[in-house]
Amino acid sequence: MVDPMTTCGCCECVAVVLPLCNGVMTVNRDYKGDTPCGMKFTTLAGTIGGGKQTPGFLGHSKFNITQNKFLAAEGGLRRLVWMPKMLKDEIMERLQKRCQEIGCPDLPEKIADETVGITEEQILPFLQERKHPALEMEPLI
Amino acid sequence: MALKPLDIFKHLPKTNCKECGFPTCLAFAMQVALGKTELANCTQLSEESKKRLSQASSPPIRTITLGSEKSKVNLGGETVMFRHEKTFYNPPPIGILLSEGLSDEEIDRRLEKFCSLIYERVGLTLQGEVIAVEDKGQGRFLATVKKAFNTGKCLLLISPEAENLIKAAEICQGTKPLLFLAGQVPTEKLAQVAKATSLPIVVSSNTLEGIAKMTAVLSDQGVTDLVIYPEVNSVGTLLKNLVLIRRAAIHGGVRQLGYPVLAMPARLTDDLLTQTMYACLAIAKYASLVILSDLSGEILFPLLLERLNLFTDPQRPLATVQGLYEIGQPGRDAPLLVTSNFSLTYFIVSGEIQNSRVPAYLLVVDTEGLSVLTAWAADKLNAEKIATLVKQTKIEEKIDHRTLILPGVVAGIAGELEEELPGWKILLGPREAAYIPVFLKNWKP
Ligand code: SF4
Repeated sequence: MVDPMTTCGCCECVAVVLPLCNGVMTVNRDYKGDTPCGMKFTTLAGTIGGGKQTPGFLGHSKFNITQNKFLAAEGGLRRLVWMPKMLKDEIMERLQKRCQEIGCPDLPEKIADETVGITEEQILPFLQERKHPALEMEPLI
Repeated sequence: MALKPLDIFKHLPKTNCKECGFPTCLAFAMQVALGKTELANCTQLSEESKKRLSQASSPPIRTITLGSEKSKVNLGGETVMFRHEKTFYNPPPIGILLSEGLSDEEIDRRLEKFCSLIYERVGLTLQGEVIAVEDKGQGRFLATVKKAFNTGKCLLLISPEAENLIKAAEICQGTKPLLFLAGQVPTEKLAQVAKATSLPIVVSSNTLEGIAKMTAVLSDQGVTDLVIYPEVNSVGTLLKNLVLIRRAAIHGGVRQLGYPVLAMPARLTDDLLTQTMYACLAIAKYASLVILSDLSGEILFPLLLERLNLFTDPQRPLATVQGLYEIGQPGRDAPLLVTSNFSLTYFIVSGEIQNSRVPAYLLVVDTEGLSVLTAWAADKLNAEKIATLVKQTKIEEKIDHRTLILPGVVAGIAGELEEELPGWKILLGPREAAYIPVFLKNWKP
């Protein structure tokens, strides 16, 4: 996230840091609504593609979310605090498996989605209540 | 260096109070970094952070503006060492030197020649911008300045006499020349002239340390419209100095050298072709203003092209202007096609229409330089945009039929477009431009 790789601009998802939640959110191309970082996918896509590198913003694939290198420098999948419901449902099987692997089998339920909120303030209480691991991790910024 | 969103964000209050009109501080920081909004729009920012941020975000190299409304050029203002890191902003103006040693006829000849060298290429006007006039104490300086002033070009006025410079500056009403007080000049004197005329002035020395010392003194006195001129006697030293200055300003944060740089190949040799090679080097490597002794077409044109190539913005795809284009002489039943404004797309599509020999209307939508499919994916080519443009261009008054030919690859928006354009039939064209000729030959309104 400090020196993110650029993409050609056609990545499936964009991950962004959420400073308040000390975590990272990601949003897929098909999700057209607002996100907790205050920007929609289309705006975010402009920050990571076509040779641009913007610290704190990272383009990646859906599959990448459940790979072991996802956000490796930031502590991996444990950092993920928000993703659209449709994306979560789509990759649920692999997500559960990966969460098992990293020893947080209940992580999927701790990751917020748009039904919880689309601002950082809305999702923070949810994360606190469910004791999301990102809150305990070392500060992102 | 340009600030990244997170660097800006670190200084923001992080309260997401939304006063700035953005939903989060991060979104705001993003827009500030993109230059789309001003830091001042955050109402909650402490004075302390404001100061630190504006210092950090102030450009490492000052921008100096010369000329009049019409002949305006910017010097400096660069933020990177290499074009691919972001972009170069201000192409160095190129000019000729009228020294007093020249005869009147020669001065007139050079002026006339210089002003006649204008080239139109890819929708741009390319030309040299600056005339330097040098006082050699023969009493003809002011007369030459007048001549040069009448051409409407930007001026660089060079004289060892402060008084002459001030007088010359007075001639140049309504335009901003650059002043150069030549010789071993005490900094105090420079400050006086700069203050008396409120014009940008050249600081010269044969060492970079010397220049840095002078600019530091001047900026302390509030004189900051400066252009620096490292005096050199070989092209090697010129290159070395140009690179060192740029590096110091961009990477070393050396504010004292954060000014545009004047390069004068005219002073290095009398041979014009050698000067041209030096100029070529100076344009590529960081000069902000380049003066040769004379220019002719075969010398200026390659320099202008070199400059154009280096100073186009690599971040922005080449784009054609949005609008309705007529290809051939389309009549009232000519086909109407839609495409994006990526230059390459436009040239290919319009070329294929020409190949078909069917006169047609081509509606070019502003997709910010993206090709059709990419623009569609980024929502920059959509039904709404096309419909708006159809109405704006009043195409309905030009053709009798109501059929719009959409690129085959964006079939997905045909339905929406029919809704946006009641009474219109949306026809799917070929998926590739190569098939346009066949398609158009079979087309009937
Ligand atoms: S006004 Fe300042 S503090 Fe408030 S949301 Fe905008 S950036 Fe954040």
